[in-house]
Amino acid sequence: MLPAELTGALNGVRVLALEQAVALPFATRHLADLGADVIRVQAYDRARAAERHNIELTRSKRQVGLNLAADGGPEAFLRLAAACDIVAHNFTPRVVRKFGIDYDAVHAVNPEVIYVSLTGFGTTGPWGERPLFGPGAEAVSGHNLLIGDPDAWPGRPGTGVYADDTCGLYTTMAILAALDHREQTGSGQHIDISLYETMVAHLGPVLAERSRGGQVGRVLNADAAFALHGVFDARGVDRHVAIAAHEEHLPAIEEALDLAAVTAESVAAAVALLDANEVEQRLQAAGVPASIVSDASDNLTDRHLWARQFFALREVEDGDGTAHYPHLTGVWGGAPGHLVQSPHYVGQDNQDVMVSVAGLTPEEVERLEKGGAIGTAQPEGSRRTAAEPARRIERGELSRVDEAPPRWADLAEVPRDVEWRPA
Amino acid sequence: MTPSRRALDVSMDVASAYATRLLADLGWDVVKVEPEGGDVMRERLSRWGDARGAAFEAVNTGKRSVTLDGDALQALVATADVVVGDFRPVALARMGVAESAFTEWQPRHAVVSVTPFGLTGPKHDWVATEVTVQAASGLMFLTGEWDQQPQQLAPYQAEMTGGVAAAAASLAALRSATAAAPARIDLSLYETMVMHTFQAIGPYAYNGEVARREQRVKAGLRMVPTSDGYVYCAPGAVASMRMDGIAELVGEPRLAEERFQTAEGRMQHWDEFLELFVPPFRTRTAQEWFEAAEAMHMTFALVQTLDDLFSCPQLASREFLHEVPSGGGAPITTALLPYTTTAPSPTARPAPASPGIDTASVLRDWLGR
Repeated sequence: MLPAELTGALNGVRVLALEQAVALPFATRHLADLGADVIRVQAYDRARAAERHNIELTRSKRQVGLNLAADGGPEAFLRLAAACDIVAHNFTPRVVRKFGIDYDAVHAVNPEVIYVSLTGFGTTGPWGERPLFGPGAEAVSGHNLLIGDPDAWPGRPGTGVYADDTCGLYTTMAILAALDHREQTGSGQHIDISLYETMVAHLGPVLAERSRGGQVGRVLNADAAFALHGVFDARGVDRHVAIAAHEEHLPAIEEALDLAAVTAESVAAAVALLDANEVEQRLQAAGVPASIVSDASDNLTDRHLWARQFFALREVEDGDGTAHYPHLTGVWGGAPGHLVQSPHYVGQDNQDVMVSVAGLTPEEVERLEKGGAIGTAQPEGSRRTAAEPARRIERGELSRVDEAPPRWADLAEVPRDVEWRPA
Repeated sequence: MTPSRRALDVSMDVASAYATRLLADLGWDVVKVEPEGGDVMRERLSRWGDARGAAFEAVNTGKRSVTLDGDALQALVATADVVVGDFRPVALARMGVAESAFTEWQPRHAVVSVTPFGLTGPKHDWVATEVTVQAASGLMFLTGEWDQQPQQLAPYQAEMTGGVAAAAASLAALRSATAAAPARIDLSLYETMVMHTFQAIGPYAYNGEVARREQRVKAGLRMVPTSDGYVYCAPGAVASMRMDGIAELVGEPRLAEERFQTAEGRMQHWDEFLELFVPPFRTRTAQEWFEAAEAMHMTFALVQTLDDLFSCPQLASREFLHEVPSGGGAPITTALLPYTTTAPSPTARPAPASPGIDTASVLRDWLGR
């Protein structure tokens, strides 16, 4: 769980985030978990889907709706920027230059600012003005040619947001480092961070291996450093177990799976007849590294994660009343659920923020609203326009749909195990 | 650079070592504690069975190494801001450290433990490797073709992600924890990787939907083979992507037909779609396609190899990769900070050439001995 000693680590720190998509919202969400006052700024000119699935990106933030193209828009942004410790955006360098809110402009009104440009390739260099999205970053940084079958087209990380998350986490770290630097020296800084470079850095050991002549490439689920390494199909639909064993583990595998000898083929044949969880249990009991290939239901019903308060329940308006649904608590393990504020809608906090942070009078705020510089976008209703589940299963989008998902309240009652046990 | 901070690395893995390496890049004075026989990572092979010890150097550049007895270690802990390591009993035993270290050590701000499943909970003593953590996390289930086995990611991804999270936690603890009550942070690689699947967690929690890997494969285009490699082809969001621009780009007007204009339509006519879409890309190089798409304001990306990174003009222009000398072997190529900043930047320093090589200088600098 979030250790008590980190709760409120960023109390008193104010963050202005002109943010879109995933990478920067993910970074500032971590800052909000640590107690920062995060002001999420977005365009308000089109209605947004309800953000209930987006809670991991939007919770615990105040929301301002701003139109930078309107009269007074950039000035309103700079008024806010002058009053914040951290000013961050994830737009291309051209966009922030065009609206006069780049590092130089913000630094002029806030000399100690920690300013973050989160871009595709960094703000300088021959590729500095190019747009890039997370999946493209996975391709250009070398990850995709390290994933999958060497005889097929390249693979890629399966979530679609792997680069965004990864860059977001590095951004959180960079901001925390900059706060410490400012504490010690009094100086702010411009952090120029990119999807591309953080994904390259995330291959650090592999770059070193390649520079020492390593024959890097795609090898599916193999790993030559192990005696047995792979993913094995278990009984049932789309159930698998990953096993990684050294020479010393082989006798234990023989015994656990009742094999005459351990080969990739004999293990595959044995696992195919068993439930994935059964294989996992037997091998773990024998001290062999093995885990089922979890799907979302395995993770959400894992008593280990509930015992560690990795999930928490939140009250959600749901058609005919309120219901409780789980969410992830945080990257440092579980934070007490009550610290999580449900997402606000775009512009919900305009009045409050423009007065208390930017120091405008209510009359000035009204003028900005009338001129279109600030506004709100009410969320649309639940966005469930997807095709019928059966059709989505047929075309490979879904593995299955559980009509009666687990009772989250029961799982939330799993006894908490938060005491460290030095045996 | 923040020269007055000190971190102690008591790990023999990638995650903790990377966390403290990031702190070293930020200017911290980082000391690595090694057992007499040295960190087992010094002998570790790559996924491909070669490049022995290269990963060790990548995550330990800029540190000093000590080998020492329990009393001296206690003294170093007391003067460190942060201690990072694997605090499972089995791992501590290999380091020659007492099992009570996680709860009893008193550094100035934080003890950060990074382990596969955490120090608590029913799976706290489960054994794991990189691939089994990727499997447990749910990320692997989503990676690969929808009708084939799940696939592992690039090497070390769970450990590297845990390392970034541990570095961030260490920095957060500076602000809120004190020597009287240092933060005790119990990080799990499993949890930091489950974090990546948040977009699959929500639909299951609310609708019972179990997402399958590469649900977009048949609607999107992804990486297409060209005359000399692959190009990532993503002219817009998959669901709303239209083919008009692509039809013009590749000179195949039939791709602009109405039946190919929606994801649903493309999936219905998938084989015909591929027959029209794929062959034209064979006629030019990836770089040529990338530039042609850019001229038409379509966001393509090059699908680069690691060797491409070593000669990438963008990385060169930003001086992002550096050759770092090593104690014995050939230099390694590595990033220093994973971003650029107007604050002072680090310089390239090698990983410690052998265990304990810096014991005397560390005892002098940290303890005045």
